Amino acid sequence: MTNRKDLLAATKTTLGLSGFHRPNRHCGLLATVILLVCALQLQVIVPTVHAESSTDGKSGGAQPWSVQVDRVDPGDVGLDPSFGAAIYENLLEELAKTEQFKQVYRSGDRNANDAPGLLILKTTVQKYTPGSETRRAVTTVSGATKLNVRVQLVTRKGQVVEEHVVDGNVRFIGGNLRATHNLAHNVAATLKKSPLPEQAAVLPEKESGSK
Amino acid sequence: MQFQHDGSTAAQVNISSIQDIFVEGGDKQLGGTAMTLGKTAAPFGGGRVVSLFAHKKYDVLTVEYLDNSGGFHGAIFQLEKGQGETFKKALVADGAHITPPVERSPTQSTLEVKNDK
Repeated sequence: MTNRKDLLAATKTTLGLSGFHRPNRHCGLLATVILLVCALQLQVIVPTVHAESSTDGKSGGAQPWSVQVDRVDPGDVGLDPSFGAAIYENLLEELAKTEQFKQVYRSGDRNANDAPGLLILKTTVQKYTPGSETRRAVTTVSGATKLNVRVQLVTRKGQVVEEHVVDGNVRFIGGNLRATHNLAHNVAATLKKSPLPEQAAVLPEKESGSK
Repeated sequence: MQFQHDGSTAAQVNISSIQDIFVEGGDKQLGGTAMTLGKTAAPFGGGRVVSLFAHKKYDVLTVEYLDNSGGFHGAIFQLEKGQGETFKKALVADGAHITPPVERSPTQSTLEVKNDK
């Protein structure tokens, strides 16, 4: 019993806040200084790491790719023509915003013919659920507009470099066409996250322009 | 044809460069985001009742055209109900190209269309 009391007292002395401060005043000061130095070091190191990773993910090499956005393939899901056009236009806008690609070309643009390191973005709609803004406003739980597309980045020769399946929905606030904006935003974010291979590794020497 | 989007520079489209024109029906809630937030805050689900009546039908006119360098564009216009077909006919009369509409199967015009591959 006495031993237990002694043990509890000892624990209190060691772990109690006041007990810690009194005998370890100098140590506490030292620990604070060390913590401050560590925090400062972290502040210096972390932005550097972020900067490096964002540069790496940008183009995946010294020569950035250009991209030509192909017309949206509506598949056989009965996609409204306005949705196809909206997805296409929003993709052009969102891809340009990310600055991942040197140039963003429209489908059929003759200027893309001579562009070195060109990738073609193919978009195929896999699922489409037409929604209703009024149904969303009245019921909250139904009336969502849903889009699911397969996006492929292919070279001029048809070699698939990247392939993703991306969703874009509008569930609460906003018109139906907002789903196309959300989709394009998600596609651009997905492509930015996945680093592209170096041009020399994918393209023949002549096309990539490397010696 | 000339149009402007959100105060940006006006786009001029040669009628002969129009590839296709589509007209669809649409429905939207009136009042924008401010009204939506107001309806959400209304007690006893009053906002939902307002939503039932505060909506408007309109026509969506989609014009697909090519620019001078052959680049494909899609422009979407929101028009008063019934004006879409009028605009389409006027553009076709001026020489705009359209492809004949492909009839959709009845199943695809239902509320939910899915194609799982």
